[in-house]
Amino acid sequence: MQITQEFDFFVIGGGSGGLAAAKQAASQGAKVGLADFVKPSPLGTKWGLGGTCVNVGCIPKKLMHFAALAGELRKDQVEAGWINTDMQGKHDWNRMTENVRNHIKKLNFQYKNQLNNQEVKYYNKLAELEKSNIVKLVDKDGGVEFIKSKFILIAVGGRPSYPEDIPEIEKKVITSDDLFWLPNNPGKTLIVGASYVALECGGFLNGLGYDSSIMVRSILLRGFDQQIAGKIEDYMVESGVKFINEAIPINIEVIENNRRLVTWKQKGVQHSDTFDTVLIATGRKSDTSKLNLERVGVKTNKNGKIICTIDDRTSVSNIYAIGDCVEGRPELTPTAIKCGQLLANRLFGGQKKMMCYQFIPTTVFTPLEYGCIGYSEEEAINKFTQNEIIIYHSIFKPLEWNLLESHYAQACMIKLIVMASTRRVIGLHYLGPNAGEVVQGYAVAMKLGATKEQFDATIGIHPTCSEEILTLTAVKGIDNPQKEGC
Amino acid sequence: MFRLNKLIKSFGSIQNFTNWEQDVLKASKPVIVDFYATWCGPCKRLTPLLEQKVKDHPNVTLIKIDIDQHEQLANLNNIEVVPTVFLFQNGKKVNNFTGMLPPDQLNKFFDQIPKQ
Repeated sequence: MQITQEFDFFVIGGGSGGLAAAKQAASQGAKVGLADFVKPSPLGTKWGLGGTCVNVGCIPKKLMHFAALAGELRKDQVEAGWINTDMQGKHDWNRMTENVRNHIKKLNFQYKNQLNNQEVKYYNKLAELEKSNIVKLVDKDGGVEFIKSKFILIAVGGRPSYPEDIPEIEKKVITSDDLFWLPNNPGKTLIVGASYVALECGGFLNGLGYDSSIMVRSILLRGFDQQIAGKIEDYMVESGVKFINEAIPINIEVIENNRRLVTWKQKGVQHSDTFDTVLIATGRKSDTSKLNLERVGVKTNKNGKIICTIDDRTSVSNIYAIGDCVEGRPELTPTAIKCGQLLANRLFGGQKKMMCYQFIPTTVFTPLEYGCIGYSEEEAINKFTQNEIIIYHSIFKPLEWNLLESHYAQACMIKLIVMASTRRVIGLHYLGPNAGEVVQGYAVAMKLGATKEQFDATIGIHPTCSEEILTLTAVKGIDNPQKEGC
Repeated sequence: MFRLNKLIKSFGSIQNFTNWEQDVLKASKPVIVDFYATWCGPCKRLTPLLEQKVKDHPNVTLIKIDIDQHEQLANLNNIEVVPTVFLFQNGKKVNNFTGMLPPDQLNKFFDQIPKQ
């Protein structure tokens, strides 16, 4: 076996975590290499450098969510006075996807340049562990080379998983890997799943004018505040999304015109319907199966996720892992980036700072957006008991919604979860427009341990939705969340 | 016959890219190389302008190179921005620009190319 190159740091996976760690390590003077290779989806979809977020996640998702919202705004435009607004105008899927694709390719190019500029050697090859310090790289034509590295970082992320009980399902359905690159519009779509991926995709497809149904086995948005999850569902139902609750698909058949006949069981009764597209969004699994982890001794859990210590080390002392492929980590881009940078600083920059996973803000980009920081109501009650927490709540209506009468007046909500003893705000939940933008700044306050009184002492900006967070007085269980009167 | 030759105006041409050494380094006339990408908006606006100006100039060849189809070549030339445009004369790079140029600057670029 001939070693073609030796590195200080070799990163397997060019996604959010891998790229950030590689660039940071190089800036600290390490000799760095990075391998990124996209295995095509079962339907053949593939993409460039940058990982899930850039190619088949956050970026295309947000752009399509924005496209759907832009369409919804036409109704408000009419009431705002714009003449000749075409309410019946249809959506051009190909135009949208071409623009999204062009942007993603620009990002792929920028990442390649960044690696070049930082002198990180980029291999567009599929990597596997040969030994604890040797990586085997295979290119698309089967050509093999071996490199040696002092430290190895596994940042391979995850891929969508498929339900196991439907025969040949992988060829009959699409996943988020395929949706954003679909050459033609998906038409009447069934989305199976209850995760944020399912709700976000179902939400924007409906907003773009495609008949959308979401099939849910039990609860929506497991792990998130369930009261808010219920209101998200209400809003989506008002918007025209059809929910098929307490149901699981039992068969999917390809029928004429390349459509799908789906049979499902709901409360013991069998139903069926036809769709143009079935999108599976029932979960993701860690992409570690072909890395040869077992042979080298890197321990994983039964779902393939790598088990790491708090300092990102695996069971093999010179091999580290970050991001979605690690057990117990939030599956988010900013945490993978920060984690990768801090790891690089510890390995090559003499620094000691560890990643902190407390009070990480996040947002679900459903048609009505949901931003949150800290504990959900369920998590808070579970950890602290009902007596130790006070929940403030408010149902509000954004000012801009008052031009168009048909806006759902009780849709938006804010919840603050406060520790009774210390008055510290430990949970913030905002369901309303621009949730990501609204909630971001509050994460700074919450990490610093801000109290309800400190929130209340802060002057609001008027007129905004965000100022509602600073003027909460209604207590859940005692007061009505809705303000009386006009 | 002699007078007729003097009356025939020559025009710049657009050439298909085959080989860097042949088409660019060993070319007898000045060569403009347009590095572009299919996903790049400004490239789509610049290329037709270059084509028009090349046709109007008596002494230059235009070669267009898709950086995704010719990755190695783009890397060798350190292409970090698209569009990137080079002007080669007698095998040497004598001028270049990146991005979309406003009309007066584009004119200046072409005016500096020798007319014979």
